[in-house]
Amino acid sequence: MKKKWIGGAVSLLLVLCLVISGCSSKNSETAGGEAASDEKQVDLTLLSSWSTDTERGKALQTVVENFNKKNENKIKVNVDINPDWPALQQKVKTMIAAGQTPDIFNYNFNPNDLSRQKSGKLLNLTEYMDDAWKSRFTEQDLQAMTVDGELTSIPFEKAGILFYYNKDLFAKAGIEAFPTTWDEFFDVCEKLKDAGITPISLMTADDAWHATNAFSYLAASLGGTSVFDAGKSLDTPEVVKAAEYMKKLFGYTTADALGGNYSVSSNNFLTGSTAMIIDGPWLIGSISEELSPSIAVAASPTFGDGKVQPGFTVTDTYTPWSLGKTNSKEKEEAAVDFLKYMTSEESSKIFTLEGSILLSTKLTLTEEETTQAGPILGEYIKTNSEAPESIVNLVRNLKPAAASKLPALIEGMMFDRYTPEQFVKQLQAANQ
Amino acid sequence: MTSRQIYLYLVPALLFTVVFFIFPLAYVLFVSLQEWDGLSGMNFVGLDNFRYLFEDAAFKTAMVNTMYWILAGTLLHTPLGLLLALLLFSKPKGWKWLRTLFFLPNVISTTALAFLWYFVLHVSLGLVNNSLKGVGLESWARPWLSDPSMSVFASMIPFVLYIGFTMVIFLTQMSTISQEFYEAAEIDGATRAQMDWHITVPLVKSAIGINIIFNTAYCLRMFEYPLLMTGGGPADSSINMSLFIYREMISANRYGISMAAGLMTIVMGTIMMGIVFGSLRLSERRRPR
Amino acid sequence: MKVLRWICILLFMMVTLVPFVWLILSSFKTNQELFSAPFALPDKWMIENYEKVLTSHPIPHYFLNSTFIAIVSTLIGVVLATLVSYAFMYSFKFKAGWLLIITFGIFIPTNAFIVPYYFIVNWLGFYDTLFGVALVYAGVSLPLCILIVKTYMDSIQKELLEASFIDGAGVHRSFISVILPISYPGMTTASIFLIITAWNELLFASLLTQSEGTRTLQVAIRFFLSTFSANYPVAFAAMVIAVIPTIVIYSLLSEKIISGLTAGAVK
Repeated sequence: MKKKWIGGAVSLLLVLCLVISGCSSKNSETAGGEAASDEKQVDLTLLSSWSTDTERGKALQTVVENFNKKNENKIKVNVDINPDWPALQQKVKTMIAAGQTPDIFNYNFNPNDLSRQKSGKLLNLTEYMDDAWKSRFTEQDLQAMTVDGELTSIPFEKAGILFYYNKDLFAKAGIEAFPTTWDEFFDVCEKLKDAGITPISLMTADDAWHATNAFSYLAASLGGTSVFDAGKSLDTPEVVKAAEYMKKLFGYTTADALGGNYSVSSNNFLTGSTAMIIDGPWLIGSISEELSPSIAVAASPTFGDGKVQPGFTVTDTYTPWSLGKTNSKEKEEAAVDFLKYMTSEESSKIFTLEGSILLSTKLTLTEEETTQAGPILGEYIKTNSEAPESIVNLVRNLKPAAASKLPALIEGMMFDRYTPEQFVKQLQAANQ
Repeated sequence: MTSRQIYLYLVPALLFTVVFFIFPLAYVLFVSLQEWDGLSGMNFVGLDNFRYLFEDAAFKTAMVNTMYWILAGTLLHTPLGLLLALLLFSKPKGWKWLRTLFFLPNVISTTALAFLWYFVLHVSLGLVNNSLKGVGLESWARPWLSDPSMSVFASMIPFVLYIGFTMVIFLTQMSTISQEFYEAAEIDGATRAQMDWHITVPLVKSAIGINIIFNTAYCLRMFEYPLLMTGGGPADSSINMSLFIYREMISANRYGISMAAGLMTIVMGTIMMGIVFGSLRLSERRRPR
Repeated sequence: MKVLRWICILLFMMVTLVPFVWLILSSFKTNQELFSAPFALPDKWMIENYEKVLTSHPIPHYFLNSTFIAIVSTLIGVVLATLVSYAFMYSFKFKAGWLLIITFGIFIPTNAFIVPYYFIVNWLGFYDTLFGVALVYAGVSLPLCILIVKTYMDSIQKELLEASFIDGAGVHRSFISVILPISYPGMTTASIFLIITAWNELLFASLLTQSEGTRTLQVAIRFFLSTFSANYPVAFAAMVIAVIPTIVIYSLLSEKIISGLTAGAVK
């Protein structure tokens, strides 16, 4: 009996050994094979959160494939996907801390958190910025990306955030048009609620994105687009008032909004469970064909008191691309080549039309191309480009410590642990 | 027997202990006194990080919740495992098959279980609330995971329920109990429940001890369920130590505070494990063998 | 009485296993259906959900990664534990002290070490490698592993070792030909313990790896909900696919696993 046992255990161990040697030899084979096949090929890794199941992911894939084809046997860009955007950005920071800066990556630019730029691990692109490349951007955008005289990031996207609404659900509640004032907006919410429809998708986890979009819109409506300006305390009557309104707005959302993340909240809108969501253009790609005809976008309501101009927008921050410093000149040049290609007219068109990404690079589209992009994107581009003024979402300008506390603070306010005044005070304190 | 050669056998494990325990402990001690975002230089701040922790409500909640986890492991998970082991120990038809089935969730994937239960407890999609609706108890339906008074307990449910591991450890020790005890009891006319209570349970005492130790250690480093089911929310109500440490490092980039919390976790863990070991020793001593 | 027992068992089965049935059913639905009729059978069985996952995600690859990590970490852990347990069959200076040093780790919640482990693995040059993760798992589990193997070896009669010495075998020979063959139960228990722990671990796996090539099953599952955020049933399908191989392997080996888990613990 005992012998049998031993025999079994030994054979099991043997199998395990075989599996291991199999695995490891496979790994080394592929690694060796690649190196041997072409000594000159430069391999670059690009980190992205755009999974190939999304429109922008597909667009990125197309651009990368085009680039790789053009540089066959010379440069190969590999895309590594981590679909959780907040998680990916955190990952990149820890990678920089460990000296493992990714070759190519993008992130949310935050003027109050320049730790990436100041780490000294990002490549300064100033000398590569020739006139031809410069002409792709506006002077203002390049200026914004310059930190301590170094251009370590290339402007790419600065998405406007708009109100998506479900026309069918609006019609069901007897609402004809998207409200233009906040009073009307809350009336609409009440009407939707009475009709048994959850008015709006919100969430509080991670960066509390959909909730902070609403919060930023409200704060700007109350205090103008300079309400979050750098150096200004958050603790102002306008911001407190905005927090009060946000609290009210949470009365019109789904039960899973508290603690929910981006997936939860956007899914509620995309399945027709909620009538509104405040989000960027990337959402367009996730709207199903059946739902698509009933979706429209609109600019924010205002209080009608002239504090902001109607049609103003809250935007995401810059989401630029950066390159990790490397010792190999070849690799550096290859990476720059890729960035240049990525921001070229050709790629910009692909990103905009196929990926629904509104780029910072210059791009003029013909009318035909705009209509081809689909009605929602067309409307989106129009509404976005007509915005007379804009403000960046608050969460993108918070220091990491404040940003990591934000979900708990919002949730605390919803459960009456903090008053809106205390919420704003605590946020300001954490942001010191 | 002594031999110098024997040190050869000691060295590899010692090396690992240095790399994975002794050095990290020193490192944690050092970093916990620094202000550091991981990217720029460190800045010595003395005990400021600890002062911050003791004033931070989230950290207090994390400590309390970690205690709740340990209590759940000791008072719910372990007894439930014992109960199920007793049920299977009476060898009902197909008990082996049942044993395999109940152990299954422990091997598939904690991450998948966490997500599964996120949906089971989901306020509108969830199995629980919809079942309650189905049997007319709609007023009992709750946003289990997003109610601050319940979230920490709701996020424990999968851990409390999937007791396969604990159960198997109990069953093993039960299988070593001599049949004679039961035969004698049967002659005395004892019921199965009486036998369970008076014979089996006292004889699996050391398995109870092992299970409590395992579960306490497991609860001290519990990470997956809070992270994936509630993310520590709402309003930090379900955060625990592991999640706090993780969040301070990964999202707040305060490595110093993260490691100060880490040190506190180690202190707390040592105390808790000490209490568990101590009380097990004590209960062993109380009954002379 | 018997009825009561069965009621308990069935109740327990319901609570623990019904969620799985629900998961599988839901993975065949459309997103709309999931929200409108969470309980009903799918109107039309959406095999497409599964196709979508299989065509876009290299789940077998993640599975292999997890397997590799589990096996390598287990081998390292068990080999080290066996070696050191053998050393403790002898007497030497400060024996109790050495034992304390190498096993005090069981008291430590190792999640507290995320920062040092992150940098250690990086300094060793194993960042974003499967081996790096395996190494950390082995290190973390080593104290417990030592305790299991050592407890078993303590039950081996010293006379065996003495007899082997009388036969002229040295320290190494005695280890290989006498002690090792009879220590398998203890080693097996430790192995299974380690494999299960390594298989389920998420924190260090997500901290120490980054690329898709080194993604473990747990990390991949964690991402499914973000990847398929617009379509939960597809995420469910992905989860089902991800756990099926484990279930198959487990059901083939369950007897061995369960008996092996306890073989070394029984005296």
